[in-house]
Amino acid sequence: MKDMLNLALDAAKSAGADYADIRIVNTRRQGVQTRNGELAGLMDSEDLGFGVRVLAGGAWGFASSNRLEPVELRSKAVEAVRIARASATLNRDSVQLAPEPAWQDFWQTPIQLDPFTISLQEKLGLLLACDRVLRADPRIKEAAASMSFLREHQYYASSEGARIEQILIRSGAGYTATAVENGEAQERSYPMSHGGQYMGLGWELILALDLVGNAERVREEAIALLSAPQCPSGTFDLILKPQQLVLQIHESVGHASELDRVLGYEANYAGTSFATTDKLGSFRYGSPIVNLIADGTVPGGLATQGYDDDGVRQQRWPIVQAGILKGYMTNRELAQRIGEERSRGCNRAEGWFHLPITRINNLSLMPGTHSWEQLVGEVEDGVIMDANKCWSIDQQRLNFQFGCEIGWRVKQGKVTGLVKNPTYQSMTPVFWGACDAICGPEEWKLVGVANCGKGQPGQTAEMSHGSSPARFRGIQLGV
Amino acid sequence: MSVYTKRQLDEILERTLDECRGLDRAELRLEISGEALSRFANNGIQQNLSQQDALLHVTIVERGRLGLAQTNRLDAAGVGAVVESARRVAALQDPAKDLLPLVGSCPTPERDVLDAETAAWGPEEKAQGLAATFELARAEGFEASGILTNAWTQLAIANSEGLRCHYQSSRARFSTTFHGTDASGWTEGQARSFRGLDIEALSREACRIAQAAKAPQPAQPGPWTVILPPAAVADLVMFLNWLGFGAQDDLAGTSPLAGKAGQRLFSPLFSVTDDAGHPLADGLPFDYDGLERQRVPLVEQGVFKGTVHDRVTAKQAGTVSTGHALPRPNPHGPFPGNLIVAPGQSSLDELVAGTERGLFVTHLHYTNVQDRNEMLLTGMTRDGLFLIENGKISHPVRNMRFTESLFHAFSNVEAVTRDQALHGGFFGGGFVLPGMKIRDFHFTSESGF
Repeated sequence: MKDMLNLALDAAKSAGADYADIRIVNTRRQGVQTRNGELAGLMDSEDLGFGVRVLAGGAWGFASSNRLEPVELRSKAVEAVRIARASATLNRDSVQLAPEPAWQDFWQTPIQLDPFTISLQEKLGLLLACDRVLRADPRIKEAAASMSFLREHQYYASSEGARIEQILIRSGAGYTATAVENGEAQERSYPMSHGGQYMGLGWELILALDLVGNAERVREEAIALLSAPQCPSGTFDLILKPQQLVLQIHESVGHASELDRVLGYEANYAGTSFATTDKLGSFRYGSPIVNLIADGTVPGGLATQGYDDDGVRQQRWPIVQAGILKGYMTNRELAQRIGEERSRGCNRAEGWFHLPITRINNLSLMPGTHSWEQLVGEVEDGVIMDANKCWSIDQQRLNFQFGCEIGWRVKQGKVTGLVKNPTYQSMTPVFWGACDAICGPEEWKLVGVANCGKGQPGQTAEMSHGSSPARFRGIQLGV
Repeated sequence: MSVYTKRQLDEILERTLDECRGLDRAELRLEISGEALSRFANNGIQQNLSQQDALLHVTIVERGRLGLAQTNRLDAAGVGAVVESARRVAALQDPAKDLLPLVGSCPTPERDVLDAETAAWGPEEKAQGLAATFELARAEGFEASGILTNAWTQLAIANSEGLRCHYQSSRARFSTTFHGTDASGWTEGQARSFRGLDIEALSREACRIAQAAKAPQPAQPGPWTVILPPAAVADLVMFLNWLGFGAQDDLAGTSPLAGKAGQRLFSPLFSVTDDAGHPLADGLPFDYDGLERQRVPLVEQGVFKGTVHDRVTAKQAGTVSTGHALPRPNPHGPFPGNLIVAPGQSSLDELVAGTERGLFVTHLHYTNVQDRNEMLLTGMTRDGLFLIENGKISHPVRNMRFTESLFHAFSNVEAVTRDQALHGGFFGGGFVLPGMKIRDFHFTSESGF
């Protein structure tokens, strides 16, 4: 492997690269899906390839290939330099990389049970056991369950001397029950919507989720939603639980704090950000109890790793502190644009195929001091929501409208019953500014986002967002 | 980037089938793809790349047990390893129930719509093409961002019953946003060949929209008559497809269109067909079972005609496959791949001229499903929202959020353009679409910009 890394770097330098790095990535994926008692998906794949990234004439070039052969390594290194030179013909500014030690290290996701040593039969059997419980009532017309596992073995080398080997392991599982009656469908998911809970853990995560043990409750909630009243429209107090806060944090803070978006790099597709650099250190993003910390080292986080794809060691830093915008997700190219001497380590690519781009790291809302009973007990007229179902936010990450699978009406401090189709709409700083209470660390949960899409060509990244239930006063519900 | 010859593809498939000899049966799918993309922002190229990958999917049955595996290693060792991997998976399975018979031959086994020059389009030529875009943006005080990309894909499927199908296509695409302090303008174009892209004209149009969008004024949320060019229609059609045109959800009763076949659900001006053979679509002529993809009317003059089928859903519904199988097994069932919304009689300018008061929407952003029962969507306008008064664009308007049911929106279609264009939605897809005039389209909040 060392020879192949050096071969590509040497070829790039010989072709005129001022800087070069190469990532060789070998990925094993395994996934099982069931639908209504039958196998609906089965994947066991191996994927191997490399990507060479160079700076020449102050501009980037990148070429990747699935053919890990000496001739192809040389060819793609030379092609990357050719591409960079083409870029340089139009660019007025030269890329400058923030300094980073040339790390030589090995890092591996800490796990207890390797998910690839568990038989497919056991995995399929667990999903089918959930399926049987979910479909015990004929009103459940669709039960869909899945689990998947990933092992990504990365080798990274740069012309600055970095040599980093990492083995990342991610596991996850979940299911959804859809109840249908009189032409109406309602769904409930566990452990969360959008495919389930994913973490940087092994098979021990699947065991801890107690998938079968939660299936009866999920089935009954889906059925109960069919006859539940519609969530009210108007201005109410809102309590969000971690399965919805994960999406709230992700969309309204995570993407808004990606420095490439802030600087216009995503303007044509995903959009820009209202959280512009002139606001850094002074803009009131939320109420004084809102603290959002990025952390590439948090145990179990989907973005937790030793180093990013710039070779930058992972860190922990504030994005919002006491309600004030304090930081961004950065990489080596952009860190200096906000006067920071070092990247925060947020440059990541999906596999070997893609060019690394700025991604949200693990980002969490820090716990407060309330108990759950206090949080609910102090609400005169409100709604609790959980499990994201609908998400839409504008291209500057200001106006959002989100919907959840389930809601509970709260009157005079008591939960009075279910409501269906709950939605809320607000503007990002107004919403976080309305946060007046957050539950304590005993309620804090880390929830994974396994399918964050970004970039052109599109690529997927994973990250986690932790939170305790939080309360927001005077929010517009319904439309 | 190197396109494989048909002979090279066949050699890989035959070598893999050789590895599968002695098994009950084998199905192979070989996908080769390449893309070279120049991504620009702030009037410079920020990302510039060339990518190539290959995927060999192997599905086998051994002693009645199903095994699947995939690899991107196409050498002899890789092919041998992936077949062994599929056999290991099969060995752990219970005998499969209700296996479909393999299709032995395909009536339309080949489509070649790959332009070799487009596949080979180099970074220097693309940089030259972008120079005028950046010059225009600088001259007019804007920052241009976007992509200029050339991509190609090859698909070959084969099985142990003798099926052999081949498809290959190319696509060149240019998309740009011109950004100012309080305004932006967007355009997009795509074609089989880069010669079909007029980068300068598209750049001038994005610039024109951005100029016109300066100093936007607020507008009141509420029901508005909207003029939607094809790019704005794309997001609505993408979700109609996803929610309503697959047979599996229809049969399960979870589709909002379940049980409504034969009913008039939309305006008589609204007709949708799935047609892989449409000249703008360049679609796959066969499905993943090897059956010919039929031209399927889905909505005719507002009447929902039914869904597409694969062999599984067709058997359940007592009908025949329309040739829309996805790779099996999958949790989704069959889906259309090339929706064509029928054209009308008007031009986009005539739609504006015939509107007393309304909004012109350049395109939509981050649309999503809020309530699938009602096909209720929510999303944002972006990159140019304009007030129409007395048949003319009056002034730019700040972006707004819409929350609207597709039942309602496509029932309120008042006019359709005769020109169609190929566009995808924010989350993807590719549809051949006209522009539309829709009354009482509900906007529910403002963006403030």
